[in-house]
Amino acid sequence: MSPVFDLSETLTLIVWLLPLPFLGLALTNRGRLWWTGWIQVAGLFVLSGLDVAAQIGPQSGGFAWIARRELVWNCLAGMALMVALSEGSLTALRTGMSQRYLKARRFAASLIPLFALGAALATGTDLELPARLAWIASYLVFDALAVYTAPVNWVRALRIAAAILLAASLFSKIWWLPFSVVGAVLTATQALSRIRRENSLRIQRAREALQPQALQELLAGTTSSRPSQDEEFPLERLEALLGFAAQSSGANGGAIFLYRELVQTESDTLSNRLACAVSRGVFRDLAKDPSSTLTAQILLSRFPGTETATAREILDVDRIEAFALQSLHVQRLAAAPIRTRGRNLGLVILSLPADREQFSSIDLHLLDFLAQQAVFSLHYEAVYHRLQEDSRLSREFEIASKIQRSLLPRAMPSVAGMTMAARVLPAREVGGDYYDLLPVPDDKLLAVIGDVSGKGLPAGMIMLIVRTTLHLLVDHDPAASPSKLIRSLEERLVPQLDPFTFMTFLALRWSARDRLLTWSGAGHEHILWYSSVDRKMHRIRTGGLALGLQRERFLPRDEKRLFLAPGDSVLLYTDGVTDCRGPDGQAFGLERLERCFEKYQELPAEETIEEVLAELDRFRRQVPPTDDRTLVVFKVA
Amino acid sequence: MNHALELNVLPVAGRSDARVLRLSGEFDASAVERTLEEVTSLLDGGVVHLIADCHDLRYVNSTGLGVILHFSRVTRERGGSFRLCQVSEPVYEIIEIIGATTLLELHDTVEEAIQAIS
Repeated sequence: MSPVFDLSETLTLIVWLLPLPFLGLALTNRGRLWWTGWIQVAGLFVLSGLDVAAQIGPQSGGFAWIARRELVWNCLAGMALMVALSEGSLTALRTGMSQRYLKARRFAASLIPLFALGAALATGTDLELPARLAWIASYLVFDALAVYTAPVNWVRALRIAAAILLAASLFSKIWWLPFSVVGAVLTATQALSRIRRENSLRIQRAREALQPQALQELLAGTTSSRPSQDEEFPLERLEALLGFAAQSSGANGGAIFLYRELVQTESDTLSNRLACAVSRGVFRDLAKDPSSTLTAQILLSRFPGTETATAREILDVDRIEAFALQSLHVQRLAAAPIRTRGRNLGLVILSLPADREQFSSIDLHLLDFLAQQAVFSLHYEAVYHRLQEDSRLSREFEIASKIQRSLLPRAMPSVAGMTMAARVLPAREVGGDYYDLLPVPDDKLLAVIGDVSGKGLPAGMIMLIVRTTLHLLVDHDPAASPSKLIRSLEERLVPQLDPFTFMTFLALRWSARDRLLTWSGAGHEHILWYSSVDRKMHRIRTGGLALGLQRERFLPRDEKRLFLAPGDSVLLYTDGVTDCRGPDGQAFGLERLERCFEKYQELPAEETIEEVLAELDRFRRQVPPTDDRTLVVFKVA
Repeated sequence: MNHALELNVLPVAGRSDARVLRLSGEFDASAVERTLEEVTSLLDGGVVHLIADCHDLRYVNSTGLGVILHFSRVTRERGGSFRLCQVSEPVYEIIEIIGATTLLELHDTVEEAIQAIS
């Protein structure tokens, strides 16, 4: 051993130090495997050391090799190399800074068989060369299989076993082999059973959590207390979902990001577009404290390509994984887009703690589940809010409807020589139809009917204005003629109508003393009159321009009159009755209304209306009416 | 059955300030917004004479009529006119009931209406 550098000895030492990377691997696993690995490796270390000493010893006199400087040099060089290799693996594992480290680690691992090959050729063992080569070849195959094909969680265990086997086979006397094999198998079995146990526990937890009942409880628990109204997104359900997913997957952190506005532009990076809605675990400050050291940008930048790619590109990927943040003891991150009907709403992220190397398929299912549930949750909240808004509106409409109904005559006024009945049926809660029956002095009655164009609340508001104005006018001048009333109403109403709105109106005055019906029309439907004298129906045009058609100047209104005989009946209606459609799209029509009225005119006024409405209902069947319907019947006694 | 209102705008030869509006279907609240938009943009583009061809207009309710009357007012204010042609019986009846026959200019044919503006 005279040369300063002896290749064979260097290789020997390198091989001797081979277990170091695996020691590193074992060290990174802080479970029980750590001890198993440590004991195995330490044992191998000692045995191999003794083996080398035994080989060198006879040539140089016992353990005198320790004193030989060249050997120490070589030893240190080999150690440095192996430490560098193992440190590379350690760093990669602990910090998971990027994909490059994983590649470096794999590269280092792939060098091991080469060292082993050199060592096997350079040192003498009991094994013959073909046997050694066979071992090396099997290791290569085994390692390749382990690294590239085995389920991720098994890789470590398989590789430790393989390395121990190989080292033992190369170093040891043949009698040591069985012991080594048993040790390797034990190590692998222990590691595998531990991984299996952990996995089955997680699967069980996930299954329990995914039970319909458990989900119901989760959802019920979060919907029972409503968030305050000033929150933009109600986040309780999202928080509960995130907590559930994180717990079930053993994640040490999680976050749900949502688009600031659900519009994507091509130029913005992901971190500019997303805002953290809820977060927990190591990311807990993200949502609560925007100034924390971990910003959304840092977190999102861990995902490859996020800084240059647009949000759309990133989220078109189904799921992305990345190595992550040393400072937070995060080993690995996985993100899945919250996507519905091709539209991205945001992103969910889960992180694995430093002692977990890879996401299992269960974890990834949970991540997907979380993303889907987030969609559901957001939809639910949107629908819930709309419903709340709707129910608020419908409550208000109900009130408006009640007010409007309360403004209609509560009971038919009693007027000498006449009975009457009236009904208004709005198409919606509030309508634009209006009728009124006002007793005025001298046994007279003022009856009005009107129809505001359009329907619903806007028409209802006009109807209120008309009623108020009319009552004021009648209070002011109870003897005012129908034409004067319409003229006064027109002057006050028309300036308040929007350009598209007009109102048909008919005002009638009944004088019991002379059985005279006087009216003035403003573009309203006909008066249908059943005469008991000729026993026929008469269609009387009411005339006049609807209110709102003429806006510049208001002309005096015409007045017409009709004497009614005892037994005569009069029907007033709005076009909602005649325009009412049946299932075939046909309108009820004026003729049908006339026939119908004629048929039932002998009945008391109230019953006449009931029968006409029943006929109308039979005609339209289930077709919803599109307009307000009003009927007023007078019968002369 | 398709009730929706169809609105086609046709040019009038030699008159850049006039258009024929061919209305078909039923003119009710569902068509108001679209009609307002289209006709207002025509008016903003300098058109003052509108001739509504109502041959295929089966029905118009009070809301639709409100829009027609509005345009009739607007065109008159701008020195133009809004003319209705080939109005069917039911549509005429509605116009008549509200008393708008004196406000709207009604013609038997489109040609007659075009002649009336020249």
